[in-house]
Amino acid sequence: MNIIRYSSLKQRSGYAGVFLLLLAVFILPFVPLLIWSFSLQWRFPELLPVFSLRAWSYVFSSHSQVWTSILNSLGLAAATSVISQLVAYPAARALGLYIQRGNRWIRLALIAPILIPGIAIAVGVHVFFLQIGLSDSWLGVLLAHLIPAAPYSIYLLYGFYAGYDSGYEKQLRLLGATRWQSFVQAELPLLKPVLTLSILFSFLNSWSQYLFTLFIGGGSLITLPMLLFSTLSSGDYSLMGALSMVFVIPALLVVIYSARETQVDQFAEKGEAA
Amino acid sequence: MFYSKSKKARLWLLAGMLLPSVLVILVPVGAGLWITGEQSLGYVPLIGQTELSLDVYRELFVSRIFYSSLSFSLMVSLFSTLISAVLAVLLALWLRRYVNKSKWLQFLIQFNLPLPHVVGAMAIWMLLGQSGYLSRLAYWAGIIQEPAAFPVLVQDQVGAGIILEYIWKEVPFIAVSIISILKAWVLPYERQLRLLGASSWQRFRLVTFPFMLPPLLSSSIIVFAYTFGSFEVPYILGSVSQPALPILAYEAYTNPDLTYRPEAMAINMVITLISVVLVFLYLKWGEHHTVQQS
Repeated sequence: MNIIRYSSLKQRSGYAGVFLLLLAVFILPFVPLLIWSFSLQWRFPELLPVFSLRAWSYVFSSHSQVWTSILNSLGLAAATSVISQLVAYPAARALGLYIQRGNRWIRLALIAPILIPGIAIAVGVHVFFLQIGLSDSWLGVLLAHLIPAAPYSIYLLYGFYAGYDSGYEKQLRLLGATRWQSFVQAELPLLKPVLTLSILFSFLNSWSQYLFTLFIGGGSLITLPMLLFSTLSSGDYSLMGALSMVFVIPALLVVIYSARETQVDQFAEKGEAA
Repeated sequence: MFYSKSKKARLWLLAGMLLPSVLVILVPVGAGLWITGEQSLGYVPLIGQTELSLDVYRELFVSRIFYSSLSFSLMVSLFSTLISAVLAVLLALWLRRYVNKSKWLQFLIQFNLPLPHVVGAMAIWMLLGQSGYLSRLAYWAGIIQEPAAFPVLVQDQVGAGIILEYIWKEVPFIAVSIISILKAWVLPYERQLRLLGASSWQRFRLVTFPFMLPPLLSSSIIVFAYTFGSFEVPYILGSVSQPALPILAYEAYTNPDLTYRPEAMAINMVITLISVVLVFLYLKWGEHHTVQQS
């Protein structure tokens, strides 16, 4: 249903044009990175390198730093995404449903770390954590990762609770359901899409965190971004390519997941319309 | 869950619900900013300085390197944001008639939204560096004979590489926020105007653009604020002789000579203050858009 009608041929070639342009602009920049990851050496002006699996076999070898850093990154990101929800849920619910006075200011204060640049926060937090003995520790780094991640979750979950009708859960409670039953049967199904988004966001946020890990970890905790930056200064382009590929996997999974979700939505809409 | 409780009990419950986020977010950020402010005024007991003064700021505001960094950062953000916004509007207008029909297109537009900027910066480097892929293609096309003949786009003085990375990353971000509004609101109005005989330019001026403006403004402010304070991209793609403001702060802070500490903190205060101004702009123009959506 378009206001301007196109002949189907014109429309189809237009679509192909859009598609190719986007493909070229958004995805092609990754091709050199991918080729580098499979190269032994790649001198100017060759268009293809001398192929080798060196970088990849280093990534997968059990004694390399790479596995340690992947496990550190995964552990931190998983812990951050879980704790971020635990912190954000009560705050978002309180702000969305119960708190009227000062609501805007409390929200602004809690969301501020999204808007203030990492360098300005990380430096101060580093000195603070040094003073209270939290720096150079796993716990300190985890707490630091929560600083940019939890505000995102609060922002997302607040958006949900600001438009949330607590009628269903009240009804369930009146009928004798426990708090937990009303949560599982009424609140959670409605919350699920936003909660999923919030979990994914905080996971990615921690996964790609460099500054906070660098400052608070003091170089003792090696994560994947830390390793990526050190290959950058060492000039090992092949390893840089391979690590970048590993680094983007979670982000790719998120895109694939969200593209599938929107497709499901469309079917749901069609189903309703029919 | 709140009905049976007295007012006092309700207040305690609400305070308890806010407590975890206050502990995790407000306490460290507040303490961090306090320390930053304190040290920027010269209070660094570690090196025996305990007197407060505005000297560092006075020195900062007459220092050439500070001004060149500040204006470099502002210009890079300004150009990145403006170019991204224009391209995003064009892309959104072009895309919206296809976007519902193809899940592959959905995938493509969203493709680089969640990718880390670090990887984007490295990709740009390998693509646009003097021995990068474009340079090689230019060689085979006979345009250049050696890498040095390829224009310096990475680690350059004007921040071309940085700006290109931001554009590459932020165009889809702005476009997606515009498309969601166009999809949800604009079509019926456009149809109506068309029935009333409005030309396509009139339709754009009277309906499409006014509807686009709130998401365009709010996402542009977010892009500006982000690019202004971002560390990773100028760290990888910036030139050593022309540091962005966050890089200048980082260098001053990591300098083993602790007398540079107040300077680092003062630069961070400037970054924070500019961000706060941007936040207020966002609240003025941007929240309108969020309210509309919810």
